[in-house]
Amino acid sequence: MLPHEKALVERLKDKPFALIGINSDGDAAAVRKLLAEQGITWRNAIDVSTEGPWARAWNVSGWPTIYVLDHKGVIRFRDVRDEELETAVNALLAELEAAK
Amino acid sequence: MRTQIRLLVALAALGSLAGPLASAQSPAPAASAPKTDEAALAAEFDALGEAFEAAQQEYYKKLSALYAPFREREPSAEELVELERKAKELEPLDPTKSFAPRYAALAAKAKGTVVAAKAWLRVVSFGGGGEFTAEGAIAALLAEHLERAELAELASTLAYTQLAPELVRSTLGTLRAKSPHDTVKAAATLSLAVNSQREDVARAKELYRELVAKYAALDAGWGGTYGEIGTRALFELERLQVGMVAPDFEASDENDVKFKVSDYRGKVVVLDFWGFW
Repeated sequence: MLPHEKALVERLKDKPFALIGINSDGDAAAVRKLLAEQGITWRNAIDVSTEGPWARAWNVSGWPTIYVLDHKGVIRFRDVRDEELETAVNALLAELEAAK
Repeated sequence: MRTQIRLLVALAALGSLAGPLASAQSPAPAASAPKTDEAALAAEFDALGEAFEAAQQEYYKKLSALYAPFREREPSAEELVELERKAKELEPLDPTKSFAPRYAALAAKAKGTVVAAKAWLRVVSFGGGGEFTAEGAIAALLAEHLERAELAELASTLAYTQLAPELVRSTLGTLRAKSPHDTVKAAATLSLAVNSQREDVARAKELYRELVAKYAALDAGWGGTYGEIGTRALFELERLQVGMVAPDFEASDENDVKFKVSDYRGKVVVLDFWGFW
């Protein structure tokens, strides 16, 4: 996952695109350290644990769980990874471009 | 790959719990066997649990050593093939298959007692082994132990199983209709909802609503009360499906800056729930 995500974020840095992590590893300080170690540049919500508020609210029981939203905030894909994720994001960016 | 290793570690952790959980004492029911016999049978069950746990630790240690080099890096395609081959070689050491007949033998010896019920439950959780099938163990549990609270474990096990869907549905239906215990009925209702979710979302919703209506305050032992579990599952089915506008959520990031999902309207957004733990 991680190498793919890094490539995706780098490739789309000038596009209307955001990858947001919802991390379950600990508090903000712990996650800051982890992000630095892993070279992760994107924003991460601090959900503290696997029983964190966001994971709980969205009934997340497996990690990673992935949602892909279009520019209107509509859920368009769930649990796509790697190449599939790439294809999904490209399709939604093309859709956004066409809607302009 | 990382996910698979994590799963393995999680399984190993579960394995170390299985012994103590399984050997937890429950109140002796009205059984035909005299008390002393039942105590001896319970001791035998516990000893078998300890032997199983030791064998499982041994097995996991070997598997874990196999995967150790790939905690930090992804294996290559060739390494992956090699890993799978070696993991397959270790399979005969997996104690679930060899212990199923031992538990089945104890169940036969302890027939009619709570020890028999607990032994058959182990056979189900192993997916059977040797000449003893999980199906046979379930039949014995339903025929001889339907009144026992221990069958909550059977109900929970059937949420995620390789067994035939028809058998799973009928078993859970029997538990829901005939068990005298709310703990068993609630666990069976939850498992049936989980099983329905893929093919019949309407039925799954109905079952989650029933869970919330009837067993809201009952502790599920994992994930909170049945009310909480049902409410969260309904939220996912009714608000988080493809085609729905994602519900807004406010969170705080690694720099303690608050943000909302709705801040990102106008952009394509990937939300990735993740962690290394």
